[in-house]
Amino acid sequence: MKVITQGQLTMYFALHIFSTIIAFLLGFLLQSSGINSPIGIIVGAICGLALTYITYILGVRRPDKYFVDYGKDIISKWVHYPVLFFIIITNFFVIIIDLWELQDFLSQFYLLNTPPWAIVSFCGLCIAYTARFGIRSIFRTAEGIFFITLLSFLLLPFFVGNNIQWFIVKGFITQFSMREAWPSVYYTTSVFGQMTLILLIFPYLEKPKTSYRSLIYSSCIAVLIIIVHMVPIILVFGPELIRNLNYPELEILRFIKSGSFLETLDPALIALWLISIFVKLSFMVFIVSHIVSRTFKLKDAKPLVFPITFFSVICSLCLAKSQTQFYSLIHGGIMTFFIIAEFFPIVYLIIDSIRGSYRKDNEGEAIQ
Amino acid sequence: MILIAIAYVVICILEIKYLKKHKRKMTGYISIFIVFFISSEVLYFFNPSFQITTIIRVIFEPLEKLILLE
Repeated sequence: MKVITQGQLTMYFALHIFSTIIAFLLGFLLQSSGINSPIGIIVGAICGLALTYITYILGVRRPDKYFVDYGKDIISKWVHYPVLFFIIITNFFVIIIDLWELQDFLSQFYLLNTPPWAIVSFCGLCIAYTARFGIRSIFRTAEGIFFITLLSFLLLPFFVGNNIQWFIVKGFITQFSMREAWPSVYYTTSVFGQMTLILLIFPYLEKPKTSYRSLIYSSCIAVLIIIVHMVPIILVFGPELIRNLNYPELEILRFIKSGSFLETLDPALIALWLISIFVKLSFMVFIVSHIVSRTFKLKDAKPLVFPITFFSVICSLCLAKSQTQFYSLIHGGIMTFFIIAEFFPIVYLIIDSIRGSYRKDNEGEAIQ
Repeated sequence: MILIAIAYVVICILEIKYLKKHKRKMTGYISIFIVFFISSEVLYFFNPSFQITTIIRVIFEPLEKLILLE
């Protein structure tokens, strides 16, 4: 049962956050906050950690029980099951959006003329297989690729060093505006707030009481890597051009000439990204299958993995026809939708504290 | 739509084999498979005219604009 170590937890969530932001949200953050995006990342991480702390307090009260099971004792089952349904829908949307972006990105740059259904199906197959092997495999995969991914991401500033326009540095101070940084604070909070999913996996943690410390470490690593990527992009392209790039990360990778034997570094780094994204999406699929199986009192979550992934594949194919349509969706309240799901543990914590039901549960267990 | 149905049939057969091997009750699983199948078909059929994201935009877009001070 207790299969996730603290190290694995740190590495997984760091990978989860920085792969999401660097692969998909970087362009979006730079477009909305420009030169103030690094400030937004730091403040957003702090807000995300605050949300996670509330979730941690709720989870650590019953570390050996599943939230899906005990939630209905805190607030009635008439509220708990709709909340779980909302969490399932938000997780589905995370999977669908990431799959769409993955498909769009690959079909624009690497798999030209390949039909989207083929790209999404094969990605879905990889995700489903990883999720089907269970939570231990997902966290072990994260542990396995963490250091090589970290190394590859940390090397970037050294490669683009010659192209950096150092005079832009003073812009970080002279152009500072918290109002401009606010959209990126909000969007980053929704990504860092995904650490609240820890509430659903508490019984799998080896040391649940020290899990928050691991999450702080993973947030620090993620913030460091994102800023290490974001600052060179701003310094190379300048504050005007970055607002017009959809995939700035890819543009900067193509900027690097690493030597005669390796024309550009992007294929190698894209392969690492893909694995990180697959690991993240398989965890989301696992979470959905876990909630569905526990809600319907099914003994095994494995048989649900393939239908869930296939449903996500179909939804992602129906999501948007073009990038314009997709961006109108992203600007159209989807982040608020995610943040609301991350706020639910606060309601549970308040009601649980008022009713004091966790004390009764602990006393009952102590008597037994 | 036919391809979606075929894919679901294949997944269903494979999962039933797995469930039989591990001696699990099948009713709950099959009802969930049917729900996913019907949802996929409906979503694909109504795709150009109706999208699930429309509901999210109607509810959450005004809220987000308010929060982001736009």
